[in-house]
Amino acid sequence: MAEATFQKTLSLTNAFRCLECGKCTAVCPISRYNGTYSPRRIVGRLISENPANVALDPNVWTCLTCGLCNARCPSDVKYSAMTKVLRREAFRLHNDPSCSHGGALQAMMRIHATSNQPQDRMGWVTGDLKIAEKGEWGYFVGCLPYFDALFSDLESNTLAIAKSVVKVLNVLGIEPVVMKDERCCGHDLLWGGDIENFKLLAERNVKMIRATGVKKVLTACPECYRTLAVDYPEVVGPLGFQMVYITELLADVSAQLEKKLGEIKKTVSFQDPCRLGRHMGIYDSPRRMINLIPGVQFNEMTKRGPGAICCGTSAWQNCDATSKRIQTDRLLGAYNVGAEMLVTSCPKCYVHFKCALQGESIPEDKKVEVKDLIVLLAEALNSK
Amino acid sequence: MAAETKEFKPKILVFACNWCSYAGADNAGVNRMQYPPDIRVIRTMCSGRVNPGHILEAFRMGADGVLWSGCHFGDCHYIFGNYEAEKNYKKLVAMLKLLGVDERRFRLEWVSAAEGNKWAALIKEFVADIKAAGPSPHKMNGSRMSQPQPLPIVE
Amino acid sequence: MMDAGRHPLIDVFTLSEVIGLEGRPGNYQATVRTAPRYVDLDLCTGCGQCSDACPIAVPNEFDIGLGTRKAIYSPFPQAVPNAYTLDFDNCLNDVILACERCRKACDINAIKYDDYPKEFTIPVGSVIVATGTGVYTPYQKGDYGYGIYPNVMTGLEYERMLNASGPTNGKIIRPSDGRTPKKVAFIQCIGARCALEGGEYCSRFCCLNSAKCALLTKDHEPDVDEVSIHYIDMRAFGKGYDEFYRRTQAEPWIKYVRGKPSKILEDPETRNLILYTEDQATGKPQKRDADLVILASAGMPNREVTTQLAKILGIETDEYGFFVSRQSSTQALEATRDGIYLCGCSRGPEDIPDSVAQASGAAALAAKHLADHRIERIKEDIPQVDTSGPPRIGVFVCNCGINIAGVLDVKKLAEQAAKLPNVVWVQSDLFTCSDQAQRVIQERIVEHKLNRIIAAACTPRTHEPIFRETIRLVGLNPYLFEMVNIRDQCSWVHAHEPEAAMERATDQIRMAVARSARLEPLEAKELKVNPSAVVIGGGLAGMRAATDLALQGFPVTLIEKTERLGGRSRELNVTFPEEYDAETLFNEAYERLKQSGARVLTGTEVIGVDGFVGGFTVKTDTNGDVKAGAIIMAIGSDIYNPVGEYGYGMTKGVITNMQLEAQLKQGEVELDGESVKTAAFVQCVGSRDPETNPGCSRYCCATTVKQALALRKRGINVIVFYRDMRTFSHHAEESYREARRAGVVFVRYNDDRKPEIIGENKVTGIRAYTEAIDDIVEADVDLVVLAVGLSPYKEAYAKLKEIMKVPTGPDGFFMERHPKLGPVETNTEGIFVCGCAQGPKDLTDSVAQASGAAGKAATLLANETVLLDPTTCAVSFDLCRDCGTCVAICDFHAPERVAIGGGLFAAKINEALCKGCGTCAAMCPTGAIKARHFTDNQISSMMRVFLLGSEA
Repeated sequence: MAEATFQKTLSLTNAFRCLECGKCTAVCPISRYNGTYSPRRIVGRLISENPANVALDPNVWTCLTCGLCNARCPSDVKYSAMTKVLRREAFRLHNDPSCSHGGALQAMMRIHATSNQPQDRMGWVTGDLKIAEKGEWGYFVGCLPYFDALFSDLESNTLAIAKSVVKVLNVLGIEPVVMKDERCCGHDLLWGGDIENFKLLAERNVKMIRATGVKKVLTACPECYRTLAVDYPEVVGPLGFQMVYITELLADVSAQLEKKLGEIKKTVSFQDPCRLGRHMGIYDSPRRMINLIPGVQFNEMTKRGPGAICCGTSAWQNCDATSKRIQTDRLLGAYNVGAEMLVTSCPKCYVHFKCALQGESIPEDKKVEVKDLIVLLAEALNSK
Repeated sequence: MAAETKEFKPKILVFACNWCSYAGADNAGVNRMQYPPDIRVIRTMCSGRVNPGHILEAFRMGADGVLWSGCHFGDCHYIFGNYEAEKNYKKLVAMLKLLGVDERRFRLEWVSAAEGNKWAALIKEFVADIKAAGPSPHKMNGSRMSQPQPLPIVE
Repeated sequence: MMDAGRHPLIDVFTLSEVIGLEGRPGNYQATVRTAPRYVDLDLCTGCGQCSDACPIAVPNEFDIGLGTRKAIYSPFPQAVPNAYTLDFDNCLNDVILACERCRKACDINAIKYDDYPKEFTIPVGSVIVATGTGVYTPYQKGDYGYGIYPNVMTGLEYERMLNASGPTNGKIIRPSDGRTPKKVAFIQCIGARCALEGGEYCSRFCCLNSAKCALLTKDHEPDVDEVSIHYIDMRAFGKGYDEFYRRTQAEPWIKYVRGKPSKILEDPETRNLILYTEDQATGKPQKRDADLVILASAGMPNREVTTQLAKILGIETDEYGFFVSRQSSTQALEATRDGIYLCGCSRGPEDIPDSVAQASGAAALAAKHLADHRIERIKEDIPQVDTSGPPRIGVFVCNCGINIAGVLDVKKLAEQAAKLPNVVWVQSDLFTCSDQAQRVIQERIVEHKLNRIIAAACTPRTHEPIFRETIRLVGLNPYLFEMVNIRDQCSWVHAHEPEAAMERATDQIRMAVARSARLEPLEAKELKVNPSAVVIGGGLAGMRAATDLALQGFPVTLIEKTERLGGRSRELNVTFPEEYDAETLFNEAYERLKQSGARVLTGTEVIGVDGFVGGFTVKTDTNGDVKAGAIIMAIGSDIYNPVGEYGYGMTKGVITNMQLEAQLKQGEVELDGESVKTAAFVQCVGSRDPETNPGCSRYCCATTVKQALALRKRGINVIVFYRDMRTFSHHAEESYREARRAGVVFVRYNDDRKPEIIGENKVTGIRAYTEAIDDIVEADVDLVVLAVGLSPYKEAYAKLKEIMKVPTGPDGFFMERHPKLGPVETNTEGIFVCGCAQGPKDLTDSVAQASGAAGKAATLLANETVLLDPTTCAVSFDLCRDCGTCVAICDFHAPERVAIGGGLFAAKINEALCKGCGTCAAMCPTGAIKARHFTDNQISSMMRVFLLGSEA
């Protein structure tokens, strides 16, 4: 990377302002378990060494980019943003992350970016779900059908999320436009340094959404939400439509929804997805949705809201023992506040927690159920 | 001549397990059974060694077809490795269907060490299928960017 | 075969026969005569150019004349040694005008027309006779038209036709017209169970062989409408055989027809065959037609040959020419001269699993005489080539005579390879595998500091070990060798498309270069072997295994749970077929055990096992820990408890065959002091029943015959109710006939209509429907003997399964590693199984298998160390999520969940148990598992080179 470009990046991310206080390392969920990882040191090396050396360090891929350090930094160093840029350089230099599942998901995303073959991804839209060709609202499904195929053995049913979204919208009288050839949003490629393919995805998706003529696009995935709302405009300019996270819409019409919800007798807790919370500032609407369901007892975990710990794995890369420990702690955190169920509103959090429930790390009697918020809502609708 | 150069030469990747399928391919050789040369073989010890990433990466890199071959059930040198391969195969079939990959392009087949003729027939059939299916529409355009492009920083 | 051919301690003499044997056990001198091969074994590379040049084609013996071969030929593709042989009788050089085509075709001058027979003497400690058996040729009695009607063939000929690489490439055709048959008929017992032709004995392997061929028929030719099997009794006695038999019965197109045709006639026009047989349901003669008839020919030795060999070896043969055992129940593998052992079909027809187990047994017995002559591994001191620097790859491209060069431009391949990254040396040779070329490779490694070697030649499956050894000898790690198969999988199979074949060869070499650069040196770990063994279970099988091992000089501990050795044999009266006194038999076995020096712990139970191959610690409840390099499980089996069946336990006069045996042991057979007039046996009680024991218990039919004869001697009338008389074991068929002659009545009953007991509190009669006369047979009896099956000891098996990590099969018995290739080994290396623990069997087979297990254990214990193949998998603790996937899927129990400190757990792979399949690496969600020598990086580099055109 050109030296000047990088200096500019460091300057834009406030790296030069670092006071070496180490609050970032102290708060970093990775550093807590992996003593060899220090965000402060990376910043220190970046401003004092040749950036290419740092880009070749495997630790470039360790960060979860969850943004907890950013939130605590007294100098406003944007560490996760800096990581994003650093990874582009790492990727170019063939310093590759260690990809989960043999890189199957990254391969899938890159095929999305370049393949001209129409997908066959609408199998989940069963007769009871009403979707439209045209309309005001679009629904950006994300990679749910793919997760459903690849993680069939985790007893995770990610497509239930998509079905629940349409079900809930139908109850509210909305028949969303669902695109039969929507592509991966590119979030993971962006955070994996593969800008070229990310751009292709952004261009394809935006073009496709614009062609439908929808005014507002809903999503139930915080990563899609952030990527489309924040990262797309940077590469394709103004979107021409508005991005709305599902709970934000539902919170607006909660009075209408409340009447239709049946009782669910469960004690639950909530996992704040990092992209939804710290990245996009949405903390309140998911909580309002949980509290809307009759019979649900909502117990908050100690680390929550802006201080929540993320789900431990990002962008299907560098998933490891530390990830598992973070996930285990989150699941036990929910158990410790008396929850029988940990509700999350991110499909990735959902898959990661499902995976963490495998094996013997958590004793059987302490394993809590994991469910997506929108699926829980749909179940409440059904129980009425 | 010009027509010949335009002829579609498919890129077909084959994973063959050491004990049955690779041996079956050798057996075809010993018996001089002719089959089309459009395949490239990667030998693994067991069909179970191949993971979903390998297969999807192959399609990403532009493979026109991928054939995955192991021992018949009950014959696996490692007892149940081929059952694990089949588990992954089922996931992959679902993934590839979503991606719109022509189902002819990906197969899991069992060929024993004695089945040289089955191997030859299988390759003939697979190559013919791939030729009928035509060039893969999934080829990626280039690999990595040559120059990084500065992006505005956003939080 | 390849293993034997390649083993450093095995010399294989082909085309050779033993013509003299002098001396005594431990010190024999065997004289061997080798017939001329006319091809130099040391030079021949098996390329086949000579055969291509040969103008003479003669019928191929291996394909039983269905195909052809040349006068200079390799008998079959996997032949060892992999060299050609000249059949001088058919060679043109015999006549005055020399042909010499083959000699001219041979690039290395391996053909010697002046070869001559050689005789030599080798010192040997013992001799194993494994001469197998011939097959009865049904020419001798022409009832079925074999040799007259083209569409009548033998089972063996049919097998060749079913073989994918056989003369018809697996197509089933009628020899008369090449048409696919619609109706195929198998006729069983050709030359077996017959006083008129062949022998009276049961040939043992044919029933299942026909069932298998029947099932395969439809696989090969879906258009076949019907396959019928004409049989007398279906003898599906082996492990899993009855389940297989039931599977074939369920196929609507497979018809089992009881009875044997009297004759077969041919319709001269259609060449279809008419089988004259009886419809057993009506008792009327019937004609059945078939367009192909398969005669299931019995195993039968060439008596002239075997008696001649017997004379040379100083041992005996029986009337058929089978070699005679010293005593068939416990010394079945010993010939009648000390130091000479028998196995497989040389002593009578056997199926593959029993043959292979016996072979290991004979090896164990033979090794007794060799115990003082163990060969120690020679220590080598080779300085290692430093491989830490950047890859320096040498590529050697083989012409293989014209096998490769005839299709591919070898020179061009080498030139192209020279331009590839990291390649610093290329060359092409006429035969890269020749000694000369191998030496050149070694020189180039030194000269050009090569640290990776690639041979583009034939298949790694045969030649990789040779090249690995070559580079190892100059200090280059053998795992830095890579092979490209441009012959078997390129020039041979793309002969008509040389350009496209070139493209393929080019790509495969480029892929290999990419992989080669990423290969890592691997060190084979050495595990010390504790040269001692533990045998669990003190029945006759366990005693035998312990004795055989101890006699070879290995310290052995025999652990028996009860206070008494001998197991089930102590309940027997006499053995079958010799009627040898069981008590004497036990005493002899016990005496041998004592003399062998084995340590015996009775009243001791195994409560745990730690460690792995070469170094187990066996924990016991009363005698502390026992260290051992190998473990043999010989815990026998339970007897099926028939309570509630046939009034057993409620009706007086209903006893089991075991109870009868106890009475026979005491002398008189009585019921409450009163003599018995008529006894009835009911077979298959707790056997061949999917509800209880799915399989055949193997011992009961012969035992019933033995007991029935004993009762007849006491003047008691006997009726036997049976389903199929499975008197397949040595001399059992002959005894069965004797029982019939002695007036024992045999009544066949159907699975779905079992015999009924008559009498309220005391049995007074028995009745059963029999298809044979389509009526109910009723008889007054005062004793009913239930021939009960063998079933696993539920608790003991469950416990041992847990301790040993050895799985049990669907029948509940311990699973062998492979029914044919590893009948006494288990999935866990160093743990062996024998006797009824592996599945029900009779005394002869149990004891023979025990010797087999001892033989396999000795093979392990004779080495000071075992070298572990380093191509295993390893877990990175940092990446491991402790999800348990690898632990759950590995059938070898290599991954284990271990504590790694801080209250954390991870999977750890035990290299001693890992077989290197790499499945766990593929199933691991995070990539924490690395499959050595087949890493993701190595695999994806090959994919990138092929698909993207570069390694990037």
